[in-house]
Amino acid sequence: MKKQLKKKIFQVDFAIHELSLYLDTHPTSKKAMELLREYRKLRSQLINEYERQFGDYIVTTDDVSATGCWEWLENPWPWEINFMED
Amino acid sequence: MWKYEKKLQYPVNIKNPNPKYAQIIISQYGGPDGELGASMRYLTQRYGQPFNEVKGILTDVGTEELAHLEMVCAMVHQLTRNLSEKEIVESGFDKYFVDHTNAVYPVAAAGIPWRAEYIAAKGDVLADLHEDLAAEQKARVTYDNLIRLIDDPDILDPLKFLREREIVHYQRFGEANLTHSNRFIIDYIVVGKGLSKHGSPFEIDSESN
Repeated sequence: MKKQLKKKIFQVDFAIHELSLYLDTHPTSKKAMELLREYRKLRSQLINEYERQFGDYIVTTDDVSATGCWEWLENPWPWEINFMED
Repeated sequence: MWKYEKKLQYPVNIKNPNPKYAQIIISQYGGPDGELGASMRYLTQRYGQPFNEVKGILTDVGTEELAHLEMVCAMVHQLTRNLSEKEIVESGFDKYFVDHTNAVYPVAAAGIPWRAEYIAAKGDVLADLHEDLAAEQKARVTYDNLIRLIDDPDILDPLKFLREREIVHYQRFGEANLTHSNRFIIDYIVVGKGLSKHGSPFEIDSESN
């Protein structure tokens, strides 16, 4: 389901961010680098899966959208209620 | 430079508007220990740092703080939507509303607009990292206080996430401080490496040089 998959990607994004903070103060940690590689791989798999089922994952201004429309403007924006429901 | 991702770091979805809660939560946007100050503090301090690990952690935590101010603003935005005039007056939100309507403006809970005096950038790794350690603890206490005063699981969930991040950042700044303060003290304060080179502490070499 779209919402579950989106949530999973956000969770992996968080793990990647958390590992990058850890690596800032433990730059020689092989374990953290290994985990980072795993999560980056998982992220790209999840995004492929998402895009196969639902189209573009997160529209950014430099994406070439599949429809050729300026989807950047589409609701809801992240701070709006029901953003996760979309 | 930065790129925007059209998402929140952690979801905010508040079913029931509550302008009273909005008025205290807004302090974590524009208050003395809020997320706007946090991001400006770390991103500003970066330019005065001699060590790459410190430049890295200030950049990455400072960037995360931008995501946090967006979450706090999302909470305030959702808590102040669809209000009647009666609700605005009775909750005391009228004093904010008259100047800002439904915009989210950086003020402290008592209404004082955000000030640059809330942050410090001394250009010294010891002074700046200790400022940052204190800042994370002050923000954590503010989240503790909000969690005490608020009784709505939709609000408590993102607040608890944000509180936890203060603790993680404190940990990472502490590690950066432990790694670099000894090195800094011996090289630059005891041996006077930075001072002796050209007689000015501003000549301390960056690691990348």
